Amino acid sequence: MSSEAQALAPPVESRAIGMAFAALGPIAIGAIVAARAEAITPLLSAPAMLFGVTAATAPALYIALAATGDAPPISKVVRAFGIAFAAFGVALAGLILPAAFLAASSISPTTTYVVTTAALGVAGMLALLRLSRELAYPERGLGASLVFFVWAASTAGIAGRLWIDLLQELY
Amino acid sequence: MIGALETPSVNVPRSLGTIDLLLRDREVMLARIRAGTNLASLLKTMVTTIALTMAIVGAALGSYRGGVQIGYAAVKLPLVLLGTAALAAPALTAVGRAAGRRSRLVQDLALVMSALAFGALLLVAGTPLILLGRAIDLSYHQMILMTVSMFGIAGLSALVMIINAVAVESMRDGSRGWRTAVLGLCIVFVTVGGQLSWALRPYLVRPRTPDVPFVRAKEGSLFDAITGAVQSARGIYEREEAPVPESR
Amino acid sequence: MSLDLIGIGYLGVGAVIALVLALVLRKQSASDTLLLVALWPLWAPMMLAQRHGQGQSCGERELLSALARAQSSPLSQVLPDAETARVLAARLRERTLGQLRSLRVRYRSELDEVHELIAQLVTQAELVRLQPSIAQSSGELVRELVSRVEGLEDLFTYQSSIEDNELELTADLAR
Repeated sequence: MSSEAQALAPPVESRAIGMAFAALGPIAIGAIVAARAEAITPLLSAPAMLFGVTAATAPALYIALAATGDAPPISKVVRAFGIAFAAFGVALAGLILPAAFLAASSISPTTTYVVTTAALGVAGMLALLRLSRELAYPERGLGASLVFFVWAASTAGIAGRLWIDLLQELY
Repeated sequence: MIGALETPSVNVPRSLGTIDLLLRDREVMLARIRAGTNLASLLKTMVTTIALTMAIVGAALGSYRGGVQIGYAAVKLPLVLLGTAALAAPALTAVGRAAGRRSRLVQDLALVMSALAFGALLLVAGTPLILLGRAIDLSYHQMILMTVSMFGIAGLSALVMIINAVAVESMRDGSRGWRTAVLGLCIVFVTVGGQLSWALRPYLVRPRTPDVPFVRAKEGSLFDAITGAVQSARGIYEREEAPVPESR
Repeated sequence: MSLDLIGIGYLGVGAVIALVLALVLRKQSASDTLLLVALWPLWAPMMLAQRHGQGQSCGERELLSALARAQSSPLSQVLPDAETARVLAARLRERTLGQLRSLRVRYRSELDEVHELIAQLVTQAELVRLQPSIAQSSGELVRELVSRVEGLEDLFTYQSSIEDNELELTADLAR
């Protein structure tokens, strides 16, 4: 890895904090929805959904990238996913308090579902962009970019659909 | 004999010096924040500044109706700004860090609070206009427009200060994601601030209003009002008809 | 949920955080406690950062990133590596802190001497009131007091020059 990338990469300890937030963040979001819906399901479903979908689709990304001939080493892919998860956790950590306040201070349950979906969506989008950048460094071909885009859209779509279905069940 | 001693120059408290720096030389203030010098003391000064200035602005707004509304608005406006800052300020670091910005939470918090204090100081500079509006009996809606304009100018000034600081920092350390960070902060600030100010209304009250509550009864949130309007626009109504005033 | 409940919940979380930090950090002023209860999302990170000295390592990070950017230049042969730079930055900070610590000790002793002189002057003023003829001898005492106070002013100037140099160094490195 180049010295600039090394100097600019997030330090290991802040990545660990980000990963901890990534583990707790979806639980917190699930708790906000659970409190509104007066049901325990979202508390467990939210983290399961997010991590389950990512774990299920991540190997497909590596295989598809390898098929384009543009696959980075597996260690780099693992590191990139770690950074992306940390980014997801950190973004969610900053959005939980506003989401909790907006959900708690509204009468309609729609507001709760909209703000929690928005928080997860924004954090997820930032994580995907970060993952893309980490995998692309220093450069990436057109084929690999296309593969990543399709994978990201599919993963986001699957996770999003599961989340919406959960909310519709509760609403 | 004692007179042989030179009269010492006026000893300005450190906090007033910080506020003076904020007003007259924000570049030095931002350099101090970047260097991480004495940020705890800076943050305390900014919190105190926001609390006092927004109390003054609130009292001025409340004076339009007068009476107990002066006290109510003086208490509520600092709560709105400080509450919004507490909930929204960490979003700058959180979203920025996720987007790849090399940010430090304490520096970012100090920056946001300094920018808000600057905006609050600009607002307090505009209180004579609010009092003038009362003095020349501006109508309620004209007062609302003037107040919104003042808050808009103060808010934009605070935002420009944040953008300058974050952009310069990003140029120096070569990291990216500052635009995403600022956008994230703006969205979170506007939504939380909008909701909190909606929940704690009213501030500017018509002079003829006989009784004013500290806060209005919770009819819904700002977003409930917006979603209700969207539903109504789609033809989905929650009630048969809007209430009509009783005929005399 | 009503606004009252939200407010109580928010302040409750702040009170818990204030209690935990008081137990962990042990050193907490009344204003810290008030800020923790009222503005814990802002003040808790500040208190934790103060404890870990996060604010002081900004210059160190800027130095490291500047060095990383310079690695591809011809100067990279003569520049220190990341680890050496980290050690140098830490030593510079230690030296500055050491200087400030010794200045603080000197302040204390100078201030003690000034207080003693003032006490002597007060006593002298009482004596002059009773016996005006000894007024002239008080002049020397006043001159001593003035020179001590001027010496303190020099110490203040020296301290702020140390702090300014540290700021300048940080700004230059960042440029």
